[in-house]
Amino acid sequence: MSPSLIKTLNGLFTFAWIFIILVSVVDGYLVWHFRAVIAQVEQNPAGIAMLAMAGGRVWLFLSAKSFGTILASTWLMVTYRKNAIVGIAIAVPLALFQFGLLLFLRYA
Amino acid sequence: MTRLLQSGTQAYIKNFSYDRPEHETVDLDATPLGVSFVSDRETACAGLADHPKLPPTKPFSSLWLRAFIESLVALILCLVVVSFWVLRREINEFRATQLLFPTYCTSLHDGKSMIAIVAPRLSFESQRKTHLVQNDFSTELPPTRLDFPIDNPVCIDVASNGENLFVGTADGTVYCVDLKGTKSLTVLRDSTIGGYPLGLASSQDGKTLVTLDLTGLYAWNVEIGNYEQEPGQGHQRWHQRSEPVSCFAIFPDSKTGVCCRTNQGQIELAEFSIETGEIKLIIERMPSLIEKLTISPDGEFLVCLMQSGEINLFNRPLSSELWKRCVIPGLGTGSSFIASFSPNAAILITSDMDGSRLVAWNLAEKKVEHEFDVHYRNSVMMGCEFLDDNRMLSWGQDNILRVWDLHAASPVREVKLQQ
Repeated sequence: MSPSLIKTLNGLFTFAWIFIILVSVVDGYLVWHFRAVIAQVEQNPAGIAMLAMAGGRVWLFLSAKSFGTILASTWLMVTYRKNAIVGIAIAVPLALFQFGLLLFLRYA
Repeated sequence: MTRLLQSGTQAYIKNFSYDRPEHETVDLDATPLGVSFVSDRETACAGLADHPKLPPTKPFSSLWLRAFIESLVALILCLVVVSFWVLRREINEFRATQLLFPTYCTSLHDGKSMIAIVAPRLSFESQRKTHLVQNDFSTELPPTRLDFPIDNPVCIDVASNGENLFVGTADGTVYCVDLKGTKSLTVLRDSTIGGYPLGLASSQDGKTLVTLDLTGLYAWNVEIGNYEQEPGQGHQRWHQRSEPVSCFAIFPDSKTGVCCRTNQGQIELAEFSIETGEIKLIIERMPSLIEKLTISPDGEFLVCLMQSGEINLFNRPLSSELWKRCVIPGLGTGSSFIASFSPNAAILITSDMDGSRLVAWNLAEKKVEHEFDVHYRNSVMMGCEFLDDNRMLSWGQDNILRVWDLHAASPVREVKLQQ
């Protein structure tokens, strides 16, 4: 691989990787912001279960979200370092999915 | 002779010797590319190391640890970025909320108490709400929150007899609260009629309420029992929707009001009938829109606070039908839209140029009587109203209310409205 291609792939992966984390943080903020009504409007079954477990409060849901984000981004980074093509093949669709989630959170 | 042999990921370096056959196994973490004959061992090993595969990673190895730390740092950075964005957004929303839900106080006309709309604080709640508090200045007790089921009040007025409180809410509903009797609520106007109320005022006799929204002026019969068939419209007397109106006020006679309307591109100061809503008299054509109109308790003075900051004062003696401009030297402009008459109509309070002082004008002698340094340093001065002829209230958007002794020109009490 040429150095310029490696540089491009690195940039693409870094952008996708940070974007995935950023959308996750924004999602977490919205959960906290709408904590008064989140139990009624949350659509993720795992989220609903965690809210129910915490008696309607959001601390458990937010902790799980943060932990899951760190784990997923760690695994993604390791995968990229082991095999750049596989890492990008996972990160870019995931970033697009996160972008769709961001649009959903913004406009839905 | 040294020979390199391959088996899976292991490389064997075998020394062929006729007298002492031996072989050495070296795990190079690499797949040998083939078997080759080389003369010395070091060259063979280096040749293999040029084409290594990535070593098999194990959990908690340095690669995982490094990626974990990088993820943690990235998450913290994203949190910081989002926090800045949220803070900026919340502050902008709060500023907009301050415009939509200003602090406002009105006297209960008993000389000792008042009711206020308390503007929401800067908070990160998803919903900001205003609420009502009542304060009795004859006691040292803090203001008490009125627990009427009224969401987001934006404008209030109290009938001059102190019996009814009128509340307009952000969704367009207008309530009448019976303050003296059962504290019952009556919906004068429901949210399906009109929109965000820009202002409301009760007539002196307490029988009529006039409200203003973007669709024009409405008049409502306050007297209970005057229901008609349609819910929410039963109290409606008339709706003047012909021209946009920017503000209005009601004369003490309870028969006429005054409004600033735009008629065929002309801005007019006009008198209208409280009974029918019809325009009775064009007082004067104005150069710019009027932000606020205030009428003295005796009905002889009319103050127009122009959007340009100019203050126009009109006078009509009781014996006359015509208004004429009244010029007081120095009464020119004010940055805050504040004008309030004392109950005996002797004093007019306005704000000064930069909004940091209130100025008391003696209307008979046409001169400044007092100046009040209101000290709303971190907030905007929002208004003032008289409790009686000697005491005045002033308030700012910081929800701090000050009671002033008019003759001493100093604050005698400070009340924090926020609960």
